[in-house]
Amino acid sequence: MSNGLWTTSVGSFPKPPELIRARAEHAAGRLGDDELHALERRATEDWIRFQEEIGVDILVDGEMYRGDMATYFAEELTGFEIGGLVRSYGNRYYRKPIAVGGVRRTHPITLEAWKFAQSLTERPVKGMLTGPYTIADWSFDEHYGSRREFVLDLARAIHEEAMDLAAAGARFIQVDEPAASARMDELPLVAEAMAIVTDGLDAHAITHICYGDFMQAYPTMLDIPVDQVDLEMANSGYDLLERFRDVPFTKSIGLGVVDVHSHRIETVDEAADGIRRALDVLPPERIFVDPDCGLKTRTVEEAREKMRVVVEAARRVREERGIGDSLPDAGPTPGRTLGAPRPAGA
Amino acid sequence: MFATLVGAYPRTPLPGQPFRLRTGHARLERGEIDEAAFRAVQDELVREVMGEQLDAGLQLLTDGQVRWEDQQTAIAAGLHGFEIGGLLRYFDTNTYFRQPRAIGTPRWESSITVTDWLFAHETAASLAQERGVETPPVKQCLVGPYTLGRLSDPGEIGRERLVPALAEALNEELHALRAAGAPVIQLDENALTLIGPDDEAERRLAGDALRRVMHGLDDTHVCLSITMGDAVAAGPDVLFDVPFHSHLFDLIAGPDNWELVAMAPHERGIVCGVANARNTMPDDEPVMIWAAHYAASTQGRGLDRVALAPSTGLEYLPRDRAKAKIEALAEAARKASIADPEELAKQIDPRAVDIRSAALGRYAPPSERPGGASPNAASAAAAAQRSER
Repeated sequence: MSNGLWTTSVGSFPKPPELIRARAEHAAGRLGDDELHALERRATEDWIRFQEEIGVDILVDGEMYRGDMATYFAEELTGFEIGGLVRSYGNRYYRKPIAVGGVRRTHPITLEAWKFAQSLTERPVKGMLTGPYTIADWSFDEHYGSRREFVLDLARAIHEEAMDLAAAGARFIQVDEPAASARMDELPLVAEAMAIVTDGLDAHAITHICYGDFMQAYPTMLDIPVDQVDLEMANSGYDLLERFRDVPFTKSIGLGVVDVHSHRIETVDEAADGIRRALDVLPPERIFVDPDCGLKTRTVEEAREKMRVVVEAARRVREERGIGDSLPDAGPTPGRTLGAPRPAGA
Repeated sequence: MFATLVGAYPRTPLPGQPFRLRTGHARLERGEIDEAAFRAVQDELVREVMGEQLDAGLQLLTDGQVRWEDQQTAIAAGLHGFEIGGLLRYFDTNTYFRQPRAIGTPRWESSITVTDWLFAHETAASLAQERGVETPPVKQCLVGPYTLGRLSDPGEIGRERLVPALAEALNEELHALRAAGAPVIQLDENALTLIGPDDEAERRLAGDALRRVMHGLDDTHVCLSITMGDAVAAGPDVLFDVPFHSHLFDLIAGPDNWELVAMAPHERGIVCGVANARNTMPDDEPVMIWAAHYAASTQGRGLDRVALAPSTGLEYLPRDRAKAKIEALAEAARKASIADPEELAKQIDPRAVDIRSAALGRYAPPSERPGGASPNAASAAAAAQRSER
């Protein structure tokens, strides 16, 4: 029996209302660090329990302690100051970091949170990092003047964090690069930086990319040295899967099957259909099933419902096709170094 | 010679100020306030950002587009024949728009932007009266047909039919704005930067769309705005064969747009997008002044047909940085319009006089004039010694 169609989540879950209120109180100086930290841990535990309860295979901590995914890392690295609010879309805003000096990592950033989440469950919990290209792209640069130097300094910092996570036992480590689809001409820089991040990394390395022109980015995105590329697929109608018939996808895929920016809860049929489409072009052991992106923009109940759809859809297709759910060995796969096909002689 | 926005301005608050728009939006979503109450919150923000522009010294204002979800859906949602789809990244930014999807041939049914323009126009008058200054004109910006067509999902009708249909629909919107009294209308055609050197079909599609959207508007000041890159490959024919009154070019993300500035017919106005709207660093004042003078020199255009602007919408910046940018732009525009080079030299960084005299047009520092006194005698003497070796 083949195994595959493992379920997971892209990273973030919505914070419960009491934690949102607590973060605001903390920001205003009316709540101490310890009180906030206790609420974050309680919310993390709730999400871990929920994921176990519905049968998610590879868990996330839900990022209860983070605000924006780039700003969170910038706050912990030297060389950044945190600027004012800017909008990303709709009514969503974040504080955009400003690089004002050389970027360096002086202490572990996510390690304690990962250890805490992993201590709550026997199932693997993903290490969740933001990629160097995305942190750089989502920051203002008042120091480097060279995007490459900025990105590569960040890559060295994120590499240190990834190695600490792997040493602590993280079997799956995701390095989010949502900005990677923004500039096709800089995909080689994304790959160069990721080679630094994943150099010697003894874990299943994943990158998440979303909301860009995947048709343009494919197949160059295969040059990014990771074992799995996690892609937002439901939002883009699974269009990219058709390209895999002409140019084979060489890595594992994280297949987004529910739209995280819609209040509508997809049906299990819709999500299962997306999985079946992926099975037309990839074997089950190279498919991980998840939402399109982090679910933090949904309400807690919407996020829970969407996760139930993800898990139920994968379960249904597994049963249909006789696919098992034993987890894969987590470590570097051949796909990590299998890049985009090159013309003969190139 | 004046300074203006490209269109968008941050809707975020200044440091320490309450974020009423975000709160209002959240309350609207929760059903705690109705649309009218939310619009009142938006109205107040429009008043605030227009006051900020006026106080900074901008002379052609916008409402900052602070009501819009994004530039595409703001217009597409008002046309018949569209539904609004999933999120898509806007060019190479970290902002996202909801992609309009054509579900039929687009059709204009009623004005989309006129109500907002009228509010902005009245707000400008009220703000000017409070400050005892002349009422500044307000421009209305809207996405052009080629860009809206290119960024939309064309559905079954296909882009070749969608774009001309959009051009005709938006032509009606432009006529409605003219009838309402809008003195300047700006068409944002950032997707012209996506046309490659071999895209002849795209050039034809874009050129046809611009002719259609401008039909019957020769006497109206319509500015064609291109930001997010350079539009050199789109070609001067596409841009200049249509009777736009002025052109706004992003000269930061698309420095090659200078080629187009140099080719623009002399009677066309040029708005130089020279303040970097995507970085917090202060912009170099002498360079902005140089840009104004250079644009004025092309085709014998003259400074009265030149303006300065950010390189694109300022919503990518925190509010305090955007405010600093427009204050600097207005100051650069004021200095660029100083006719007397010696007076200008007194008002800018004196080092620019020596090392970047291009910022001053044809001005020669006194040290280089026969019998002139050097403002920096030591360096002039050193230069003379070097030249003698």
